Amino acid sequence: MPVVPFDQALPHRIVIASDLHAARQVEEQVLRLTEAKGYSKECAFAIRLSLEEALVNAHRHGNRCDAAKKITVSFRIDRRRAVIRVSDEGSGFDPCCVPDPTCPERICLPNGRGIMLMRSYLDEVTYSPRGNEVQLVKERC
Amino acid sequence: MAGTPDPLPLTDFQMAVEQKGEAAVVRLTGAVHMEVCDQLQKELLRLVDRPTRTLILDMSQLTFICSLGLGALVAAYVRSRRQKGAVRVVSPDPAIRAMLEVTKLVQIFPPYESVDTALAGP
Repeated sequence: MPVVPFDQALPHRIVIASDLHAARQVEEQVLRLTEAKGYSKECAFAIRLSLEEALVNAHRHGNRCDAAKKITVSFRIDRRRAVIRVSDEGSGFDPCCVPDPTCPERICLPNGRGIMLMRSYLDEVTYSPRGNEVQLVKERC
Repeated sequence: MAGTPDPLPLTDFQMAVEQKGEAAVVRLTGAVHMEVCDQLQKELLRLVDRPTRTLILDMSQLTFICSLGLGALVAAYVRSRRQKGAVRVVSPDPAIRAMLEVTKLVQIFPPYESVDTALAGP
């Protein structure tokens, strides 16, 4: 059970075209909020890395790099924790089916590390039942 | 993660290449973010395809790298190995070193302390 239910609205919501430059601007906005709320550099690094992975996955795998499609980012950054949701217009996927990128036979593959990094750096990574929305939670530190 | 670089501002990425004998030393500066990973991979593969036996990646000024950036390094490593070459990383900051450990990429990129020790390798 996620610490924040998926149906609970978050105060900030930004809809962007599926475009990496636009995605970076959202990333910067979120990071400025973490800075304003006094999150440590380590915490901000973890949020930046995970948000970047979620945005890239939404653009590449969810929206198949189609700039006509949208990415929606919702977030709440308060003094307790950061909660960020990233959704795309794709058909979703089953996160349980993603292979371990650290196993010897996959270590030399160039991709497949994004979800593992998010799970390593965050307190919680949860997917919607359809699998086209991810919720990232990082407790403030 | 003492010494983690400040993630703001979102610094631009730069790379500079210096040829040292049969090695190319690539100094990476700033952040390898989602917008520059394709460019990075293209440049690294271009260098590996030249008669460069060893590619040295100086990460001492690198503040951030995403998984696509790590993928670019891996792609260069795989192509280089096929050509009997090597890719070595130098002085990643603690946050990036931790990423190499979490992903177990430290197995193929054990960090060197300096460009000179990386040049002397293995």
